[in-house]
Amino acid sequence: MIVGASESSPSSHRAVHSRAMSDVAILVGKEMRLGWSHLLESLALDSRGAMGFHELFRVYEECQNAGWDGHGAAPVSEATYEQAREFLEALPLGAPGPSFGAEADGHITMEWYGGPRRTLSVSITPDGEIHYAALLGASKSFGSEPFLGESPAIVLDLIRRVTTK
Amino acid sequence: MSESVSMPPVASGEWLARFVFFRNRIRHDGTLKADEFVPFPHTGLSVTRHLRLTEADLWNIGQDIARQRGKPVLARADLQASSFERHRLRVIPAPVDRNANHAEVVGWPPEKSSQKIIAIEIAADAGRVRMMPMESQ
Repeated sequence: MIVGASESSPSSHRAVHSRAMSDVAILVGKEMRLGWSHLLESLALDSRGAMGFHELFRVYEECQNAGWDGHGAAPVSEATYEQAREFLEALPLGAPGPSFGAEADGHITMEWYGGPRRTLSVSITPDGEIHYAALLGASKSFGSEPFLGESPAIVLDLIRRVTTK
Repeated sequence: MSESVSMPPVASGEWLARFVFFRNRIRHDGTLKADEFVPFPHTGLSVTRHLRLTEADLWNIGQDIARQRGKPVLARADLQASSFERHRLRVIPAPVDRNANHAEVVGWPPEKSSQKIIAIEIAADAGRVRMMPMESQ
């Protein structure tokens, strides 16, 4: 049997499995499937993984038409979605993932939540501006920053403070 | 707005309901995201005064709004007017057809980040939402 080092896609796992002729091959096949399972799990848990992008896209789909809230909301534009996607991609690997939403002005929101009074909400605009507001116990922090392809340091610090137990 | 209905001013201790139509604004612990309290595109945030209404009346109003908006009402948050007033917002009666208890929270700052920090604090004040009871659906 042949188990090539370059065979790393799920379809090649099936091929490996079907060609397995010995106990060793079966074991290798099992290990590879386990590895893929762990990889997919880690992607799902990472803020930049498949689940985060899927949820972001779902918000865009649901809110891309004017009046999506039945009360005069502005649409979430493709430009806003692209800015939000780039913002998500720019988060450091392993950063806690946000939940997503939209505001009636058409901005996409990302929220990091550690409790009612440990919350960070970031609004992404179509023109690359981000508005943030955070409650940290009795103190609060809010403001606006340009998004130029890198996560603003203040936002990264607030994510850390909100999500650290 | 109906001109024929005159309502008393909103007292600080009065309870106000904010109906919720989006599941992704309700967190897993039953609290609300700030998104629910950002007022755009209207100058005020719509709320319904509890004044002289029963629970059933309140949910009926929620369902009526839901029909107008084409979205199912899922829950409501109850807050006292003082929760808005402490952020220098005002709650003014704004009766509309079929909801004489409608009111608007006005006086929001123009800057988005200032609106957001107020919205987060109001959401924290609101606590857990009341889910729409099955018998009202």
